Amino acid sequence: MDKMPLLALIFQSVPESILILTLGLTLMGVELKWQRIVPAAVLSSLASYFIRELPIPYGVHTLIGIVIITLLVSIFFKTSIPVSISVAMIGIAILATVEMLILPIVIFLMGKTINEIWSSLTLRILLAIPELIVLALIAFLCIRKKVTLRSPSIYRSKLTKDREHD
Amino acid sequence: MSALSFPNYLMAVLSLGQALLITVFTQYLVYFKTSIPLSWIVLVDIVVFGNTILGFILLRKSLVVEEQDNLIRQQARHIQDLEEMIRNIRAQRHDFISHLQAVYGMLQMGKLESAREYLAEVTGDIRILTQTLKLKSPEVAALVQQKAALAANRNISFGLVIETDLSKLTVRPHNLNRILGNLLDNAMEAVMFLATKDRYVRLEIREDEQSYILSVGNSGPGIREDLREKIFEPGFSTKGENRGLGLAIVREIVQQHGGKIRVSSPPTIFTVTLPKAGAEQ
Repeated sequence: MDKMPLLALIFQSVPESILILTLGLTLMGVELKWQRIVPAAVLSSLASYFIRELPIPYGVHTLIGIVIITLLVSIFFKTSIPVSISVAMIGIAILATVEMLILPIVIFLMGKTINEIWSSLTLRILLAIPELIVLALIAFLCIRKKVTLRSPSIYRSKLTKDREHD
Repeated sequence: MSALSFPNYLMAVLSLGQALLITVFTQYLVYFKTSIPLSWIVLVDIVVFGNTILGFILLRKSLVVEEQDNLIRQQARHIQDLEEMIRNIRAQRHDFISHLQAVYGMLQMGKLESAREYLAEVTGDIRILTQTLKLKSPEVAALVQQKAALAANRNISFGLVIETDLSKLTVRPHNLNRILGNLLDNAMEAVMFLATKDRYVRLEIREDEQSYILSVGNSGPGIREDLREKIFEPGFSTKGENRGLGLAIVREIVQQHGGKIRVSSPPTIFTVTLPKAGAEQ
């Protein structure tokens, strides 16, 4: 079982969830509302904290996490299920990719094996910091440059918003 | 929002899911202290990164397809509207030319009076359209227009005065149409045996502070005083068997909505009073 310490919950999981949601929502062209993102992120972190307490095999909690984020997004942002799934998948896929890309670099810089890093709690939380910074940078750039998988000109115009209800 | 196009969307989700699974599996191996060489991790990184990018590209594709679908639907609707408009304009243009030709012909023959009457009728058609536009309920407007057209076909002059939009009406448009339809049909039937120039039906829709007043008059024969109550009874008719339900239905609907119906004659005018929403009864 993979236990998550409370410290990691507050300093790693919550910001991570916020960034996952922000990235997913930005890329799917859903309007960002921080007053909804933060509670949704806190709820998903809490859920993942409790899931890790359950006796389930490692890795399954990621899949359950996707389901939980999907539900939270569709409840908090009133999006359709396919869009919510996309938001969750995009967020978690970016997180996983960044994690996997940073890992070898960190290992190379620290000169330690992964096993050594993962067995030490401090190192594990420290490992999350560059990851969070990279994620935050990506999210910031996406919001700033209005990067989205949709065509922003079509979807953000008021005209199409009205027409969607036709 | 419409559903994302299925095959592209599925492939995008699968591709992202694959990247996730590979990541989770690698972490799983690491977690159970399996030693993985750095070169393997780099290889896994490339696969995961590639899969994520592929997922994004596919998702983008499916979103673009969805956007295009929406645009195409909007364009199609727009084109339909335009076609409808063009058809209307063509019809109007055609009518306009025939009217002008008719007036020209009459003027050439020196029939000034006929030309004047003809023009009065033509402008009457336009007037009816403009009058019905005042009504808030398209159903009622459509019925009035249809009855006006019917009257024109039967060579009945149709007078129309609409001074209210009926926005505070408590009666549903469907029921109001039953009231107006029955009264107008009766009025038209009553004038049919008259000479063409004497046929006249008039509909007035007005309001006062408390209620709406609909009156339907015709130039037909008057109704005898002793019959003025009986005509509202079910089954009573001057038009033969199996008739006489129209006015009974009208009275029922009017009374259900707290309104009144009365008839004066001659000239025969049926006046329906219907309370406005929020008015004291």
